[in-house]
Amino acid sequence: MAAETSTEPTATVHQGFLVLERFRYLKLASLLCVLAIVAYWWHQPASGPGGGTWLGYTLGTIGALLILWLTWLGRRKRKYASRLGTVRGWLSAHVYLGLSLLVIVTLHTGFHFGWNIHTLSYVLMLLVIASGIYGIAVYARYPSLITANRDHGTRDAWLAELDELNEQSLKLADALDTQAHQVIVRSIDRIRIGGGLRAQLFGPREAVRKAFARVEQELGETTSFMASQIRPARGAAAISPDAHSTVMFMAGQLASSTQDNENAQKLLDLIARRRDLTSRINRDIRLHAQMQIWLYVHVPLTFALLAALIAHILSVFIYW
Amino acid sequence: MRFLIRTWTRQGGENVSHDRELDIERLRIGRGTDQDIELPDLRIAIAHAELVRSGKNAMLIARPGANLLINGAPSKEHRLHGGDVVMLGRYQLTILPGSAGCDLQIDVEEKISARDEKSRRQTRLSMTLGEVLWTRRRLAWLLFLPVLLIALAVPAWLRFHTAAAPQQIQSQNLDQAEYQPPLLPTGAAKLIPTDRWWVSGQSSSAHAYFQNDCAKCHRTAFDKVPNQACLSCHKGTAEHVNDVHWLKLDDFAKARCGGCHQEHKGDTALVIRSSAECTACHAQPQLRFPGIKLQPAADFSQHHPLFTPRVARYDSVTRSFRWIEANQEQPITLHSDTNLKYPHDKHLDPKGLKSPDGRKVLACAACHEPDASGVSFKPIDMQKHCAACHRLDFDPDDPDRTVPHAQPAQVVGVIRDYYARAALAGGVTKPGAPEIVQLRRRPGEELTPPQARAALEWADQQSAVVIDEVFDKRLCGYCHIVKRSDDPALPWDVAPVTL
Repeated sequence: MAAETSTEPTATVHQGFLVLERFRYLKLASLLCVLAIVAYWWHQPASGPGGGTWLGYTLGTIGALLILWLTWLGRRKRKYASRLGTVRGWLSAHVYLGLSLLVIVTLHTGFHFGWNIHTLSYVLMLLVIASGIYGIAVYARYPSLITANRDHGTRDAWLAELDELNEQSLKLADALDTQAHQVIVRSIDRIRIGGGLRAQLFGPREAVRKAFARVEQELGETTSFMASQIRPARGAAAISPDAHSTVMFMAGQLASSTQDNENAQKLLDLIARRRDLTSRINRDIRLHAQMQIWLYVHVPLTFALLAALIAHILSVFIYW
Repeated sequence: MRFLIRTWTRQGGENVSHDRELDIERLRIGRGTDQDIELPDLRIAIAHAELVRSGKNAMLIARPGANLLINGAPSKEHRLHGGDVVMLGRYQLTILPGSAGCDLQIDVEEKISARDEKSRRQTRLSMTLGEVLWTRRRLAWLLFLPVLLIALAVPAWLRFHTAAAPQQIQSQNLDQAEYQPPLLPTGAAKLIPTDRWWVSGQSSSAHAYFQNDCAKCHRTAFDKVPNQACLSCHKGTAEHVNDVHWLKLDDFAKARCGGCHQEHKGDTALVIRSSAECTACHAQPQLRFPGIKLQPAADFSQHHPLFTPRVARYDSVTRSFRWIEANQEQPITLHSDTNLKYPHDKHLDPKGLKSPDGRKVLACAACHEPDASGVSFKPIDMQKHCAACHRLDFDPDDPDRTVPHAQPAQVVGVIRDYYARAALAGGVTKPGAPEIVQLRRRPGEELTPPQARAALEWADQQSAVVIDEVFDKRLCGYCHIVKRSDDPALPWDVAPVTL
């Protein structure tokens, strides 16, 4: 299903912000880093490198202004009417200039670290950048994975289809016998889609394949399946020979019509389709969750960083 | 049992109830058309549950394979009480105590229509992070505010707006000896955010003992550490230049101690070890201070002019010292008038010096001890450095009796008093002493005036001899420049000393 889908067009769209205008912002950020490194190497203050020298203040000011501007992306991307550059341009600059902070701010510290709010700001910045790097990685890779998984379908259509399948399998199972009906009712209640944070990020607690295997097994143990010629692949094998023969004997007493055989086969087909859809929807949810979770780290940590930055700058000048 | 079954349906936006009564032993509930309460929902079994009498109450029992959700908990059978709620598919059954001739009333209500349920099932599941997490904005505030509070607001409030603050200000002007740095918090108090967390780096070891008392140096917010804060301990610190003319310039008048001596960089920056700070001015002093008499010094070890230390010149008329600069090209300037006879070569004889405790080898450090700052030396102290050998006893017969150092008038007095008393007390064995002085006195014996006069006359002669000896040769004159004076009360003059 994924094989036939060409991922090329989507890949270029989503990597667009990295290669924008022949790496204009990569060049700008690299230049900034090189200038900072050269200045740091050339500047040899008597008291040793640090935030308190003129170069330290300069690098600190550049770093703080960059952080404020990088944070502003959150505003800019929601202001659709703005003509101040394209959002894609902003994103490209955000990525490269954000990465350049690693060099600029590290040189600003002069490699002095301690258990204080200054190093707290630095560590928060590193965490924000690390989550941002995760973001770049998933934005480069996940859209094509999602498209491949979608395979021209949509999640809403799958969900509607799944509801239909549930309804149909209930009807079919009901026509078979009470046990089969109960198995299907339970399976509809049990096999959930989505869920909490953990379920969205890593899939449901019970893997979809395993859950459906259990449904098939339970179904295989019902009277009508025993009597019919249809054997769910996993279900039949799981039954012990003794139980199997007993049920077979009892089932033999019942008249099994060709209609029942047909229904049993249909029910298994429905379950197979349900399994396929459920896996696909869960994978879609998982891919989306994994693609978006970093923003729930990146944005709040950015604001923690802003608070720490305010404390850093003010405390330095309170105790000048 | 008699049951009243009340079925609620929605008609035209209003709830309408339909009652029917049944008098049966078993009330059957299920999807089948033969059931007493028929619930058309595919998730419900054809025959799902039965309600039977059990003693005084009724009991709800699930049929094999079926499950019940009673009062929110899954159950196979349940003894009913008034008010029990049973959920079956999209139906809700409420069991109420019977009234007016029936044992039990059962309200049957379809909670949601079959069509609505389908759309609700889709939305009921959380499929986006937005549904299961707080909004990013809320999370952002949740981190922003505590960080700002802990890192800035609370420490600032504790520092500038609490009762402890004025005490800290008082401690700023205490003498170093009286000053007690505040104790570091212990236990749970460590977690209270204070300005400790603002410390940007390790203090120098010299200042480490009060490094948790930020207010000692950082006196007002947003002001640099004032010189006054440094000078409250470093009291005797001299100005950088000794000429008032230059001191008036901003370079010196507005210079901050912290401009050169930087704190919170460990021991690397408090005492400047790089010459760059010095050579910034001293490489070309004329450029910045035209007319200043200073040789350029571009580097301390490589490009430093000859040192011109200040040496003392003594003026015997005014009995005072003045200071001149020593000049290598003028040999006459290359000594300092200390007024002390101190031959370094003799004292530092590697064979050692004779001392009361045997031979003793002296090194520089025997007298020149570094001071507390480590920059200079402690002053030479006669009592400490010289007195062990240079004893101040004046009478060989009485070696424990000494004269005080550096007090010539007292020396004269002590010697005169000593011999006057000896003469009057008698028993003196010195050769040449008159008989009355040599004679031992009997208890209660008094001298006649002529005897006393004779004794004191000897005492005057004796002390005059000893005073000359003490000042001129044996004691004072041994180390000091001594001159006879015209004053009979103080017959010798010892020149003042500078070291």
